[in-house]
Amino acid sequence: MQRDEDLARGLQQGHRGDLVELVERHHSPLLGYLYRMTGGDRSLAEDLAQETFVRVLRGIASYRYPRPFKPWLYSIATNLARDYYKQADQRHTISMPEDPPPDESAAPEERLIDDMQAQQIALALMNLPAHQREAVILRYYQELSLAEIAEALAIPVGTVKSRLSLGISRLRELVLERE
Amino acid sequence: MMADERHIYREDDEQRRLRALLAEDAETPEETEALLETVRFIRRWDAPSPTPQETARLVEKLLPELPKPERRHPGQWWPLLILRAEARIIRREIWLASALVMALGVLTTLGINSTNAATPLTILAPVVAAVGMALLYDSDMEQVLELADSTAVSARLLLLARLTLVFGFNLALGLGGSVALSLLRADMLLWPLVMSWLAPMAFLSALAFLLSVVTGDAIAGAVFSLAIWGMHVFVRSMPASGDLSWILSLPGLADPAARPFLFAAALLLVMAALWLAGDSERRMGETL
Repeated sequence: MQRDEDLARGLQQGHRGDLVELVERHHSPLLGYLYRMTGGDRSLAEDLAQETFVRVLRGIASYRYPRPFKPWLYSIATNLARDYYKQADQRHTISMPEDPPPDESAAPEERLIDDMQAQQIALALMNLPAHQREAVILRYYQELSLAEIAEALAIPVGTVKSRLSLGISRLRELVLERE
Repeated sequence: MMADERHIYREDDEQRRLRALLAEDAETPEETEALLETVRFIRRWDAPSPTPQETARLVEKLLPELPKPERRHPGQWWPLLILRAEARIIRREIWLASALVMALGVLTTLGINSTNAATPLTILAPVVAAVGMALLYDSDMEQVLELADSTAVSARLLLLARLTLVFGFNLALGLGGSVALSLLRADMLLWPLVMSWLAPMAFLSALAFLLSVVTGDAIAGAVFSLAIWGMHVFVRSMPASGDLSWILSLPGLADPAARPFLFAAALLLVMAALWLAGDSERRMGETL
């Protein structure tokens, strides 16, 4: 399998196949990241995911091989989410988490419990300071390495670890409070 | 393998992965175990997955953005690519206004008979540069944000690239004007003419740039620098007598003896501005 960095180099040459491969590889995880970053707003997450890829293509000329591609992709997505929250904060229009996608295979009562848990988790995550939320989602949902998170957020690895520690401890408290 | 067994296997696999992640993050094995439950719990929040059709539609939407073969820049030095990207986002009005004002300075200097050090070119060159530099730190511009988000270099480096472009352009204009004047007027020598505006231009540009970074307001940076320069020009144009004579005895911005200090101060101010610009960006990222 070709590495992301090689595909990114192909994008610089205008290779359509490399674009298809990169999008197929990262669309779903990126959507998941932005979905959780936006508190479960699917349509906003889709818009931001599309804009992330657009910005990758617009900035691809400045991509320096072999810089890791994934942290760059997530840094763009994070910046977009931050810009959205900055603007929404100015307009006072940050939306609350919407209902998560239903799991059709589950029984109705199980689905209800799942939905309630999802709401609870979404709210707990949204209650974290944004810089802790970013680190927690990148680590425990996207499973990025500490070095990749450090690169994506442009912070030292030590800072990533302290944000994760504070974030996950706070989440634990929030989850326990609600139980 | 039965479905239930696959499910258990998947759970075990996930638990192993999570434990490995937490082992890196936690200080002790006990802490790892304590946090494992929390992480497993938060991972119950599923995110939607796009269908293959949705991904294919996204690819179709992205195709127009794919670089065209004729726009390829294989092997091109990356700082040049950044400079080119920055050149596109600097407002055209800045280039045009700078060139017009500088041309006006050269023409007016040609038209007057004075060989006084304070020629219109000497007065206008620092003004043009200071205004251009103050407008550099206009972080609200959508295109500036877009470039910062999508470029794989720091915002500080992007700002430095913008600074190089605008200051370089104004420097080239000033040099061009000075060469023209030294060729057209026998009483004007190139080197003294260049030095008469270069040091104040460097100092006032750097001051305007720093102030626009500190205040976040391009106008404030430009106005303050212009006020200092205006005061300097006004005081120096007064007759050397009366109550203001003590001011005239002080070294001015155009004083040859002050030039090394002005260049050094300009360098320090630019470094401070770049440091603050990067620092404020980092703080913004941390507090959001």
